[in-house]
Amino acid sequence: MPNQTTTAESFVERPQTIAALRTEIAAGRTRAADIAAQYYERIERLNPRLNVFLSLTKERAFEQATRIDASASRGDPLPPLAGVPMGIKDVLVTRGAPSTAGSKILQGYRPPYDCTAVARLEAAGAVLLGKTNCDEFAMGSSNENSAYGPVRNPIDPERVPGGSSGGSAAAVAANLAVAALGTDTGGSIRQPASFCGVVGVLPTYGRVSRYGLIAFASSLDRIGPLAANVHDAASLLGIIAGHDPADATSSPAPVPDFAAESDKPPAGLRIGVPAEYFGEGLDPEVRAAVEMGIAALESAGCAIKPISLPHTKYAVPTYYLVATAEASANLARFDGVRYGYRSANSATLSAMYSHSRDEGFGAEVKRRIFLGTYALSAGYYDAYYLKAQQVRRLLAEEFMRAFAEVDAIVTPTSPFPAFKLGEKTGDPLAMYLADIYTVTASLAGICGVSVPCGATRTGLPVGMQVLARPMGESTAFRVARAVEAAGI
Amino acid sequence: MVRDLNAILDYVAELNELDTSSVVPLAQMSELSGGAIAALRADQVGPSLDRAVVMQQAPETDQAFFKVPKVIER
Repeated sequence: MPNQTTTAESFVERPQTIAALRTEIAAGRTRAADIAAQYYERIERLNPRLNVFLSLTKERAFEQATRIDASASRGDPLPPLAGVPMGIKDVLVTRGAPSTAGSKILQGYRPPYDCTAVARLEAAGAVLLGKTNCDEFAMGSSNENSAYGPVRNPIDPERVPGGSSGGSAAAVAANLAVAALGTDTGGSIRQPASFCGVVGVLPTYGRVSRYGLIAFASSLDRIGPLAANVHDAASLLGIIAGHDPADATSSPAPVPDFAAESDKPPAGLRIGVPAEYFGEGLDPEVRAAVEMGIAALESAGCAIKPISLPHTKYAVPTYYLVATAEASANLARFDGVRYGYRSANSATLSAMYSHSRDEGFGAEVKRRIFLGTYALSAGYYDAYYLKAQQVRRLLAEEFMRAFAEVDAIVTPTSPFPAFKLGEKTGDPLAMYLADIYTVTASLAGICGVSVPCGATRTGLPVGMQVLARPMGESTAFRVARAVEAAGI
Repeated sequence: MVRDLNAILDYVAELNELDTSSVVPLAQMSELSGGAIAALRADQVGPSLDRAVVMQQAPETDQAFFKVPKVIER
């Protein structure tokens, strides 16, 4: 009998694909419990510096791993994600285990139910290692807004991993998990994926149930996977996608075999390159890397077509009105009454509300609640929130007109690679402008993938964003897979 | 904080460059991806959360209710 712990140890040294892991377990060459133990050992070594995980769910992980191992030794067919160690962003509720949303206001909170996406991963055999760090209530682009300290980019620990799903992206990049779940409201899966050199998926709005996602902006929030390669990301989406009666906004559209679709060659696809995403403010090294990716697509038989999306410049202001307005409504529930932080020594109920929220929320969260409340207030609603919803319609229609001419649109995911910790924290507006290439897809409800596409001279990862029409993830995966195969 | 908020409000005023007088606001994203708007479930009573489990998370409780400071200020 081969020494399975040694096999697990060497297995975990290099990032593995979901399929390779599952094959090893099914063949009896390694055990899911040993793999999990090895990942926990890596986490113990690397987490103090990187601050990727906020809490670990060891009991649950080993119970699952033991179940998988028992199936394997009986020779039963294994579920699609058998033994795959995963990190779960802390805005997704996990029954009985801490779910803080990166905030002090939910410190110690243990939800009484599971997020649907999490439950589906577990039903497919995934081993949930723990909860990953994130910007507070998913509000941020650098993971510096977490009440539990920033996450450090594994590529360069003096730099941010991106946000708000910084912990999930860093977990995959540092091989502290084989894959992770993140959430994306304005770019929070795609941008950290690009900063950390991993694949991140923005599913179409409604593709994945939001049940169990601690809400930030209900018309923008999406749950999506992060993984080390396109095929795995596509497999994961296939597991979590699909209608859920518990989410009235979840779509009844059938779920394709995304993994199989992602392997199809992209020849014949029409790729749109929008001028507005390649203008002023784009780092020259990012531009060069993405242009190499576009050239690779052309060599692979794609037709490259310049297009224009003239309303792009209005996306960031639109987003920061819509998202903050919705956040002000969604965060009203954190009042110290039923769960979470309650301020001590409040003489009256209203004092308890204001003290709990003042003491429990961080500065960025407060900023957005103030903005959103103002944008919705009497006398300002039409000028701000309604106006933003109208511009949103224009942005969505602009994309739909483009998708009549092209099958996918490619852009840089971010105007720059990972910046240094502390570099943008002094200027909130500068931080908001980091989202310029990602908020458009969020507002329009369309889907996309960020795929690694080269690096800067100093080795900082660059990401290419591939956007597709609503429910068109298969096309986005095909294009992303081709960029990945080109090995920029 | 106030300085930041004012800077952001000045920035978002850029939207006024656009004439949106004949544009219908986009509020329900489900309309874009073929989902029903406000799909409702059948009006049937079903199980909900277990009270004892919920109360374990309450800051202050008598196990039946959430206890809070006095509501009426006198």
